[in-house]
Amino acid sequence: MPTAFSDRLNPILVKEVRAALRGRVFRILFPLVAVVAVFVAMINLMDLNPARDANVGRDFLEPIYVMLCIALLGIVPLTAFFSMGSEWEENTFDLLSISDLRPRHIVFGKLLSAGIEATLYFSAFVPLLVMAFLLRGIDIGALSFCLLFTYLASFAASALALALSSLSRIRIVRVLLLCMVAAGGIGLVAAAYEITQSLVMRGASSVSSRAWDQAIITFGFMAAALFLGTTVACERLSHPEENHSTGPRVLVTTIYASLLGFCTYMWFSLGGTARNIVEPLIMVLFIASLAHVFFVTEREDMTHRVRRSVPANRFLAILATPFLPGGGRALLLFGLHVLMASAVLTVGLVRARTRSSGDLPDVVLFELLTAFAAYLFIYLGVVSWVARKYSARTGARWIARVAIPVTFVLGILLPAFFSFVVGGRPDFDHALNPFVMFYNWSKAAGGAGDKVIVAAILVGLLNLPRVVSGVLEVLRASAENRTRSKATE
Amino acid sequence: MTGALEVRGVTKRYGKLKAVDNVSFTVEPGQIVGFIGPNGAGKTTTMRICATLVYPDTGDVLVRGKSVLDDPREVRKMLGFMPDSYGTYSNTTIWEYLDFFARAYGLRGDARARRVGEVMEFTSLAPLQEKEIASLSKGMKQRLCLAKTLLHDPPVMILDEPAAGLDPRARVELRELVHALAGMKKSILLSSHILTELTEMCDSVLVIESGELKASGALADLKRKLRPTALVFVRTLQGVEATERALLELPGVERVRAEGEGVMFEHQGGPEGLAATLAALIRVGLAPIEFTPQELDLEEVFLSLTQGKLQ
Ligand SMILES: Nc1ncnc2c1ncn2[C@@H]1O[C@H](COP(=O)(O)OP(=O)(O)OP(=O)(O)O)[C@@H](O)[C@H]1O
Ligand SMILES: [Mg+2]
Repeated sequence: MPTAFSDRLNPILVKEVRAALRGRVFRILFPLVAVVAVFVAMINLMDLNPARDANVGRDFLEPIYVMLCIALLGIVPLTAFFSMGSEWEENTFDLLSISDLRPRHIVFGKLLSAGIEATLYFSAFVPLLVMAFLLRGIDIGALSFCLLFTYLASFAASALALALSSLSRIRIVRVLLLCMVAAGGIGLVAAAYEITQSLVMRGASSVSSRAWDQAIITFGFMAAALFLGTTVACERLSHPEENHSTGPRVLVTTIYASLLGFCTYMWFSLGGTARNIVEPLIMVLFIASLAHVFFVTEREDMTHRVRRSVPANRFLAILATPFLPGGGRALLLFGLHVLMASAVLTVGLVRARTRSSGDLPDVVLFELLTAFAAYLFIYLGVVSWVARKYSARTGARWIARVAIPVTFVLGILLPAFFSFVVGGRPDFDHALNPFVMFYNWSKAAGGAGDKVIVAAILVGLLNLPRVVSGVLEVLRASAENRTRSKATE
Repeated sequence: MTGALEVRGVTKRYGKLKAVDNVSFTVEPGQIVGFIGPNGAGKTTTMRICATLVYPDTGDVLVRGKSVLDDPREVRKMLGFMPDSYGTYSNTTIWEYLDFFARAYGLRGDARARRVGEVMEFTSLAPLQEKEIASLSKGMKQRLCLAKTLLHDPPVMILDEPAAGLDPRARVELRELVHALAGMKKSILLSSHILTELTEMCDSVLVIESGELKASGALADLKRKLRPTALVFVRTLQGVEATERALLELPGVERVRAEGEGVMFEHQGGPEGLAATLAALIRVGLAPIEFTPQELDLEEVFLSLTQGKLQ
């Protein structure tokens, strides 16, 4: 290997490949998989009857493909899982953290080694795959597509396995995580088999454009899994006192803004009633609130490292406040997101002056959006307010994170259950269920939103001290950093 | 100019427990400082704070003027840390292990090959470079870890219990390596349970207990502080009783007591006083065959400084 090239390789990749070549897994498992594949292929070949079946290649391909899937979607992610785990078990992770390597180097190194492993398995199967093609009955386009799909899925699955492996160092939890990786692997093999069945086995002629659409969506999901897996793993590998929140907050805000933009664009291009814009906006806000569940339950105070990263400029510090870690500051970010949605709604309504007769008045549309946001705010605000004192503890944070959706679901189910048992409708009439309210409103053209909004204002007041101290903490840190930068000058 | 390693009022809490409590000290270039304390005293925590693996609640650590809180990446470049539970990879040879960490520290091309060669030479691992790490003895692994720590040529080194579990021979070799490093003007902070080791290896010691620094300074100073009086054992041809009687007459002599075939006494007068005492004994007609000031060993220093409180 020329030195200049070898120098540029990821150190983790070099190390893992060297160790793999020496290791038991590779020396035994790889030949074993290859031998079994050839053996199965031989048996299968003896069974085939070209005279009876014109599509011999498909019958031949089936078991081979399943085995390839098991290797790529089962063995490779599992190896990635163990490879990450070995860094904790062998106490080498500290040594890596004090080197020049950053978490992303470690994660990408491990991901690339998984890719190399997948490539090796792949190349072992290539002769058999070529043979399947030569036996006829297989559409080369569909087959290549499926293989590409499987190969990429292997990356995505490895990224998720790395992320899961980085979640915990507690043995019992790791066993559970391992089961998740294994179960996910089995699911993926089944899914890959299904997709191949519909694409390759039925022949290209019967492949509808709908199947291709689905395939493209599947690619989208894989890209998302790859992205999510590497992001989570990188986050988990960086020091617990570093800033883990600003990145995700900016990312979520960006995705949120693009979704809002996308909704408006679709609405403009497709046309439709004014109501048609509110519904997607509410949906997007709901999706964003899933991320807020994590943000509002973060520990309230900033760690030392985060304090030092606050902009020294007072104005910039205030602008950055919703994006800095801490539950109180996350409520500001939620407010910002609601404002963004309202702004989009305003623009939409101003642009769309032509109205159909059955449309709701502007005020009601705003009321719908505000009331829905108020619902979300109440659930986020109350639970995280109760948990705020304990938010420095990891366990408490996770309990709060689970508690928010649970109270949300209970708020919807309990009154319904109550009315079912007692018989007759309870007075508050699904007051805790935003969807029922939403439905009633759009029918009755408004009203009744006041109660929720008043409740949300009360929750806001409850949280006010927390938010204010969150802002003051940022200002203090900013002032600290100003004096420090003056001192070093 | 500040010291190579400067710990300033560092405190670290784990829940209610103060693992490190307002600890401050400085290590100068070329100095070897020993860190002693009973189990759970906070040695490892302090060292991990210096190595940027743990951030302090309050206080700061400066490595050549760079703060672990402000520039942890800069600090890592100047610092070699050898943890107490060092990790080694399976299915990896000595050379591969060192080559990997050299890459991880950003060494490229010839520079990397040269540096890996140098550290293997320094730690006498060169003949074993093709051996797998799993097959190495504890002493060899310890050396490998030291070699790894030296790869990026850090001016400040922090070694957590480097001598733990080594046989006497390996300990002597380790001591020689540490002295060689100090000769290269590296600042070294090392912790140990083997107290006699520290006596031979360190210029000064830090005694820590329950997270608090109890004492610090050169060993001789610590001893003097602990026992201002000299303890002397004397044996004469005339026997115990005659010696005791004579000693009791002399100025500055205290706490005379028989011990075996001789007499033990304490004296406050320093070296001159001791010389005068010996001369006086001869003058009164005694024939001393032994006159030995007792060394206070580090074990005693340690025990008298710490109360043996376990956390
Ligand atoms: N991650 C942690 N979480 C909770 N407590 C900790 C943690 N690390 C250390 N401690 C506690 O802090 C105290 C100091 O531990 P430390 O490891 O620094 O002691 P030490 O002097 O190195 O002891 P030893 O001689 O046994 O190595 C101990 O009581 C320990 O239980
Ligand atoms: Mg220790």
